[in-house]
Amino acid sequence: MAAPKSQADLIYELQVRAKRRFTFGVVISWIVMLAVLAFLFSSVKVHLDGFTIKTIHLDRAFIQENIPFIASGVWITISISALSILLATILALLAALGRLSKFPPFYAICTFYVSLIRGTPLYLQIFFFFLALPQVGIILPGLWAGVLALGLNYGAYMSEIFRAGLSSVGKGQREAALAIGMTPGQTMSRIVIPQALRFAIPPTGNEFIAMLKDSALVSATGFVHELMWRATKVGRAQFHNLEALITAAVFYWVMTLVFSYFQGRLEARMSRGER
Amino acid sequence: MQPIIKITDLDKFFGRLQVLKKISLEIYPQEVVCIIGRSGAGKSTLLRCINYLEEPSFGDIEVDDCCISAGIKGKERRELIHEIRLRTGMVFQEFNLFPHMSVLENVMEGPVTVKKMDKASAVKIAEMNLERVGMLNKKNEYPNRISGGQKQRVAIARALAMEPKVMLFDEPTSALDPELIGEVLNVMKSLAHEGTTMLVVTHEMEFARDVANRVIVIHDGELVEQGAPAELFNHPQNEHTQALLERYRSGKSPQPEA
Repeated sequence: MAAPKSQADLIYELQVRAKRRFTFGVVISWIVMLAVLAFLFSSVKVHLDGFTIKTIHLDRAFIQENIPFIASGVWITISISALSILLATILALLAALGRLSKFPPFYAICTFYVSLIRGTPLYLQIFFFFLALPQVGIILPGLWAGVLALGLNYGAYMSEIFRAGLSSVGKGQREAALAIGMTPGQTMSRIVIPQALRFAIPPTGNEFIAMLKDSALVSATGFVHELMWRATKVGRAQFHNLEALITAAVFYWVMTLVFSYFQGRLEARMSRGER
Repeated sequence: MQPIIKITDLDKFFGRLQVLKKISLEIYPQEVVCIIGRSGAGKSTLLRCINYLEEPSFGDIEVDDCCISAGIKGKERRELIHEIRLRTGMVFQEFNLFPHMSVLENVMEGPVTVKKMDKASAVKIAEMNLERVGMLNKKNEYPNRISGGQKQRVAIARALAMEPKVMLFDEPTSALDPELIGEVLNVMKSLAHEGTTMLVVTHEMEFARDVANRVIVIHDGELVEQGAPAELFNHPQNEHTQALLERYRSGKSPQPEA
């Protein structure tokens, strides 16, 4: 015979069961919604009381034929996003430090940069690097122009994340470091920035996921053959935009799902071990 | 005898409010000096002016032959402040341990980063100082895993590891639960017995009476009275000292008679 359960065990068991039931319900609902979505694109004829409803028809042969071409843009999309987020992180950290600086030119440069970038559309900025710069003789390889445009743009927005990160480190930390004789530079690099980064890494993951999708804007210039560019190219050429865009959408969605999963784990790990 | 700390005519303004008024003070080697006074009297500001965490408005601060006058600018100012901070160890009310470093790393940080000491020697010094405060057995823990009293003892070890000429304590027990105050005061007592020069801002009258060589009373930014604890506690001359001690006697002391 099993040992009798204490009241605490029973209550805990109930809580666990309620939680499991909720998760189960959510998963089932997701599956149902996916099934409905799949059904909408299944080109099935349904006869109902004299009415005939036909769901949307997708040309499967077209999709099969063009999937390799579209899929080979995935890697380019990830590369652009990763390089851009790297550039954005560096710029954001510099801009955030600038906002805290007591040296007027540094402060001014950083606020100027953030204001200029946030005051103009990302779409315009992308075209600026691809189309306007060549007019004055600066021709960048497509990928780098895209990375520069996206990196500069995200850097300006992410500077707020890093500023919040830096100001989340208490004044006492700075004072303790200065009191043992560390210079302001050492205090920043050894004490403040490591703690600020810990705070800023999870939201930076979020920005990366947003970047995966905003990188599609670069396709409009026609110079970078990433996911979106490939989808619109084959879609327009054969007038199969529906199939092409849905294929690309699935790739984007799966990518964000995968990265969101890792992002969630990162966030959980970072939130542990805090003071 | 040469004083270790010599403060001359120190004024400090916060905006238009004058929080320190012409304070002059000397601390001699191996002295333990407690600064008492009401909250907001300027005790902590005085302490923080000594290592320039607060910038004095007027006056001179001299620590062990290194003198800095208010208003100095530029490279000379930076170097003098650095020299003074090397000569003083500071312990804060809120401990301010570095949360991303282990206990041992917290204590090693000064020797390694500031003194450019090699790792092995820094570990040795850090372990020796953790031993002094009875925290060697927790050297691999992170600050969020130890109690407030233990944090403060580590913070003391971190300051000691820089081998300062004088230790500054800014209300070291005020943020602690009552049952944790004793362990920190005991560490401070043992430092006093070892001959460490200490300047302590505190509300712990017991500690001031039993451990200090001299007690200083600050009221509204002015140094109103100072003297040996036996003399000052039994025969206070200044009316503000009398009022202050009266309030503690009437049971408002954080740690009443044992």
